[in-house]
Amino acid sequence: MIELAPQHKVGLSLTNPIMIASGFAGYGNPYKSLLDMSAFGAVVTQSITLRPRRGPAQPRLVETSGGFILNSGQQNPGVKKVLHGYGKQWAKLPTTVIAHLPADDPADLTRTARALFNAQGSVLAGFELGLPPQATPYEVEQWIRAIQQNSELPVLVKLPLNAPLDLAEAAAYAYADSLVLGSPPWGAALSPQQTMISGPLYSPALLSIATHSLQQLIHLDLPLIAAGGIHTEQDVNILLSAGATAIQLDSVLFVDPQAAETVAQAF
Amino acid sequence: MIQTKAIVTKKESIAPAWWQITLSAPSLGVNLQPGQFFQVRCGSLFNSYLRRSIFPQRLADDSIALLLWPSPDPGLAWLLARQEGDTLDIIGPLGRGFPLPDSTQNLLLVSDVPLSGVLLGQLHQAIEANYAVTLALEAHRAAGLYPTRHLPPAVELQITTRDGSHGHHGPIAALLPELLHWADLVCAVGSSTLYHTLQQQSKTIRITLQSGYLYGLISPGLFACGWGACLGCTIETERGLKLPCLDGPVFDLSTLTLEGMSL
Repeated sequence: MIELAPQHKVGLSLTNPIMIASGFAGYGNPYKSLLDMSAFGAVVTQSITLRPRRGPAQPRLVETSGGFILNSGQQNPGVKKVLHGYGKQWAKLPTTVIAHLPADDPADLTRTARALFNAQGSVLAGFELGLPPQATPYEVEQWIRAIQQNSELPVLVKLPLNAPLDLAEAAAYAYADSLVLGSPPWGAALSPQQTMISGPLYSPALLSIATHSLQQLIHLDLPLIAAGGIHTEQDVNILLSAGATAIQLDSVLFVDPQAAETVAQAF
Repeated sequence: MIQTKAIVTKKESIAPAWWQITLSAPSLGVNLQPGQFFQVRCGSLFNSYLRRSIFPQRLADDSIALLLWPSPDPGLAWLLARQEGDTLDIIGPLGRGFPLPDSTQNLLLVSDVPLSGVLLGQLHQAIEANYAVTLALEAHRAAGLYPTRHLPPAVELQITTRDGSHGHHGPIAALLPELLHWADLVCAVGSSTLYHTLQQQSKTIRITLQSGYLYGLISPGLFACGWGACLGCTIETERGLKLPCLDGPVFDLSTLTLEGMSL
């Protein structure tokens, strides 16, 4: 059993340190017969915002050397439809569910978190705040407090992978319960249709950046969750030995779902 | 949907630049509908990272067939280089395929891209059910056409080439009015230009484009996942945002606005 919110009155305990990152398991279980979700300690949902977001027009995806750029633009149907469509499914998932809230207008963040926290029969165990690459320390504090204002659930803060230390310190100052390292860097590449696509870059090459970021923040008195480029049990061991409390798997779920489950089962 | 290792049990050249690969694994062909797809690992972590989509034809409960031709895509080139005895990491079947309702009598299959297993699967199912089937194909030149000698004799063929080297000379659009008038179900695989033409001509011929008549396969070419997790393939329809990997890839074209859609 690991604890991701040791200073929080409710806490956030996981039976397994291997989580599924936001954007890689929808709002529940798109893997159906493909994966045993009970193998994972937690699943972080797709983005949830107060109002629906349609995301950018096609094309959104381009493959790069050793990875891909995918920009779905936080597409989501809005908190009401998410709760209506998936709220009951969360209770049936054999794993812990954490809601991913992208940074937004603080008032909207407060209303979104409140709606999720107060939903009848809610089984959500916590929130993950996703920071944009250009976030400032002041904004980080505002966003965290906006979520905490009307909710009693732990707040994980997902920093940009190459996070400047000041963002992490601002999150710690605002009583974030743990830090996720982190959101992938952005890249741009030409699609086969010769359209330039910009967006988060996913690649096994990110593992070394995640390891470096972890080392930069290890002195903070907060649980650190590593994410980025993790594909194997060996990758997980590197990050755990470097000080990570938990791990979020991302693109390996698309490339080899069985390998992701095998990694989770090893811990 | 299963993730399994499939074995290449047969690889044969069926015409210059056309290969057919047979894959076998338990349950591989069970429940496979024409238009559904598999996601196949076609490389390593640093070469063709994402899985490639294949649209096979069902042969039996434990085997499927792929049509392949030389491709500039490194993943598909890797796939074409597989030999008998090789294994493939494969996930599927995924998505929703073409319908084939019992009420169908005259089935029109249309394509302006190299023929995949999609329409062949639909064609064979329809022939087995004793439907009248017409296959209309367009290619730039004769060499780009599927070797039609492999088709069942019961199929009526309508072929056009842009250079006039085989069949009718010019785009397939010129043949469509008569064929659309005849058909009570149309299944198409091709470009957005073809789908737009089919929509417009169907409206002209049938007064209104009703649901359940005209279907097309919408694929972005590359899915990050293939099972609705990534939202990378989202398209706009008259019924809201849809995911080709989950809600499609076969769509009723009466519900789609194709302007601005690149296929």
